[in-house]
Amino acid sequence: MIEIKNVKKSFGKHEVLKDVSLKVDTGDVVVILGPSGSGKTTLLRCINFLERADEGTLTIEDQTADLHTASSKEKLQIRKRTAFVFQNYGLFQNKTAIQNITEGLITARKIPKAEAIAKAEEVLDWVGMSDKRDYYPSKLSGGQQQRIGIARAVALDPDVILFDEPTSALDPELVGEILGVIKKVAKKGITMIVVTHEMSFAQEVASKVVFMDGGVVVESGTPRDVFYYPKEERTKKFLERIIPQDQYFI
Amino acid sequence: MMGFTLNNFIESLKSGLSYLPVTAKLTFTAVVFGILFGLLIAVLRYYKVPVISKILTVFVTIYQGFPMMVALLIYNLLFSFYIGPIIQFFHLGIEVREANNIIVGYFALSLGAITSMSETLRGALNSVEKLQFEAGYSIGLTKFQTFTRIILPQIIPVAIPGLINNLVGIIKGTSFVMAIGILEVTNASLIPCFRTFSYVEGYLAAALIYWFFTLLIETLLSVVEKTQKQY
Ligand SMILES: Nc1ncnc2c1ncn2[C@@H]1O[C@H](COP(=O)(O)OP(=O)(O)O)[C@@H](O)[C@H]1O
Ligand SMILES: [Mg+2]
Repeated sequence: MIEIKNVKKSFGKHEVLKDVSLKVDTGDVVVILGPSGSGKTTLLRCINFLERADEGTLTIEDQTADLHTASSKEKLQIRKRTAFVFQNYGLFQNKTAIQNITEGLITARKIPKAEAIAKAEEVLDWVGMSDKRDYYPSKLSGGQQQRIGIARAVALDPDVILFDEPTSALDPELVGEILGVIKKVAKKGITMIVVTHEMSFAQEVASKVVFMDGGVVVESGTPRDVFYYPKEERTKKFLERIIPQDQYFI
Repeated sequence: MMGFTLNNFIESLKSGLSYLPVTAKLTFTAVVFGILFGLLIAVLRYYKVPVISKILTVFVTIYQGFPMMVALLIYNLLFSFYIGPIIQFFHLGIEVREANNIIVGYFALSLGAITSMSETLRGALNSVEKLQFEAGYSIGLTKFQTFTRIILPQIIPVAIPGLINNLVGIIKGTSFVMAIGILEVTNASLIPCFRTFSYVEGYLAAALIYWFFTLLIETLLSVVEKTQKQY
């Protein structure tokens, strides 16, 4: 179980997160939707301490940390229980595909090298990238890099994987296959929080959809609730804009 | 009339070459300090360590506009003023006139190397995307691990051309220390000239030695550089 409570974050005078709370049960896939600038990325970054929240707590299973005051030790512990899949992949440029995966296992988690490599090879195979094992990221396409990015997160065996628009930097024809890989991750039963604009993916995979706007959670519920029976005006407006009329659910 | 006498030229060349170790030592020392402390300054400034980074920014900015020759003369002056009291204070048991001011040369060149190399390394550091750091943190690496395992290996290939440039500047800068009477390549090349007045030969000999030394080092380093770019 992951629980985020009362997260607030401002950049200067700009209040980006205004008291956001979110609960994710183990094995659930929570999809966060919302217009650009609504604070989705900032929320994920606060969970992973890439950004220091001004207020708020995070509970992962038995561990609770204050998102504002957590010590470096706590920060590191939380980071080892979470993984991040970035919009722009974020593969280590100086490491090969397999080294990208083993780095977190060997250096951060002190797993013996042979074991880490075996694990990485297994995950590489699972995302269909075995043949690119020793390639540097600069030699891989965006889709291939994101597969490695996902493999890196999965190999860490985290309590939750945070996906920040994992397909929005990809060429349109590659989006489908990467969403396919993410669906596979979901089927594994890994807890996930996914920021995405892919509605059909949300419909199919999400256990819960959260609609954010202006730094608050406007509405949340099952995909059915949020997509078919949105209660809030802002949600309706957003869905009208993002879903083409001919696919409109209502 | 300025003629050119091969014998005098060769004599200057020999004399200059016999002091190449001095120039090489000055260069090498400055480069080692330059890379170590230059990296330290670049890192402290990059991570915006409170107070220290501000002080370093001011220092580097000001020092970069400070001519090497003026720096040398000032340090040498300070050295000659204070070496007596220092020897007394530490009971070094040596005579003032025995104290070798080559330390002033080492100091001035090292400080110059540190500031210029810190700028090169900071530039290389700035060229690394923020995402590389964040990806490191996200998989649970510490700041230190992220820096040493992810960032540093990426800035080395970027920094090498600039560092080689700095190094060439340092080699040329070593000739300034003749101004405070240290015998190095330039000064030594001119020794025979005091007797023969063959200054043209002396200066040409010095120039040739620097050219050769620079070329040698650049060639060696370009080999290193080639092994670096694998990604
Ligand atoms: N480091 C930052 N400094 C200042 N403003 C920021 C920073 N990061 C994000 N913001 C601002 O916070 C708001 C929310 O950004 P973000 O969380 O990226 O939104 P989303 O991911 O929903 O598009 C935006 O207005 C953005 O400009
Ligand atoms: Mg975003």
